[in-house]
Amino acid sequence: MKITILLWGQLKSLAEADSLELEVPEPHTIENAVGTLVKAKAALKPMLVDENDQPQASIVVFADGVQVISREETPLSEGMEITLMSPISGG
Amino acid sequence: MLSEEERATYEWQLDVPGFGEEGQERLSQASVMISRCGGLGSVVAYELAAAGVGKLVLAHAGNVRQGDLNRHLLMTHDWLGKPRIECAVRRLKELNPRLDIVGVNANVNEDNVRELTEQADVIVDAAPLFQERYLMNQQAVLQGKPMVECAMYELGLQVTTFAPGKTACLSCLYPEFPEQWKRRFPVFGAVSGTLGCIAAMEAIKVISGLGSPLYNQMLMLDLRDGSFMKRTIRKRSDCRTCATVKP
Repeated sequence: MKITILLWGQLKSLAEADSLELEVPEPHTIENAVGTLVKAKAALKPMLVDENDQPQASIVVFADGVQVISREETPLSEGMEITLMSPISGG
Repeated sequence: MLSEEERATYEWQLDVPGFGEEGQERLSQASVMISRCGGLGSVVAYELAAAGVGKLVLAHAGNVRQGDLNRHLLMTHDWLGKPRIECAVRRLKELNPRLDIVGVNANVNEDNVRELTEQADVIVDAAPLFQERYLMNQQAVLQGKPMVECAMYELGLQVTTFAPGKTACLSCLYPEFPEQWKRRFPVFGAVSGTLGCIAAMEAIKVISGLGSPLYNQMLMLDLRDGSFMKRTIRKRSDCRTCATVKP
């Protein structure tokens, strides 16, 4: 399944890209999309997954522009736009 | 009722449709708490002082350092090594002598957050550390006060406005503490300045009723290429901060 990933915050800088097209194999879940992305962009690994290769819970996910509350209950669909945001602060 | 001096000072913004004298009076009677007054908070405070907000409550610890001067626009070279908050208050008073300012030489912490936020109608979160941000968010929710939430990294900036009982809160947006965020981050003063202006405008809108604040909407702007997007933030029914509080 093909989706578009948009990156924000440190993720955008680390990937040196705003967005990328991603072919996600089954299962069509957000967790699997993150795993596929990490394989395609190794520089994102420290931000996106923990030491056990599990997706970082602090990363904010938007599916087609709307914040995802439960990643498990949000299946991917063909052409979906997933925005990944690492929390940033300011000062 | 505005004085003649106030009418003369604010005549350009009094002409903005939907604002007028009523909006200006609301602004002059309002208080805004800003933490801290760095690259971001400096500009928020300066714009609100210029716009005629009645009272600012500012919290920022430490002395002016050389590395502040690329973005802390309330800090000046002649004040290096002296308290930042003194410099901020002095600069703001130069711009608007009518402004009532409470300047606290401390950053937001567990001991002072309640007292600081209780003095304000609106909170602007311009703190660099998430510990401070969560503390202000908790008080915003408990006291039922709007909080303008702004952040930046490199050439990117983002802003949203939380309104307890109406929108999500910071803990809805970031339920997990972001361990990977570092105190020091790359940024230009022009980025924090742009964000500070947008955040000040959010506070003005919330106070005056002008326009539509970014409720449940996050505006994300990348000054590297001028692109922007908006994303919808959702309230969490299991939020540790706002789910069980009724403001």
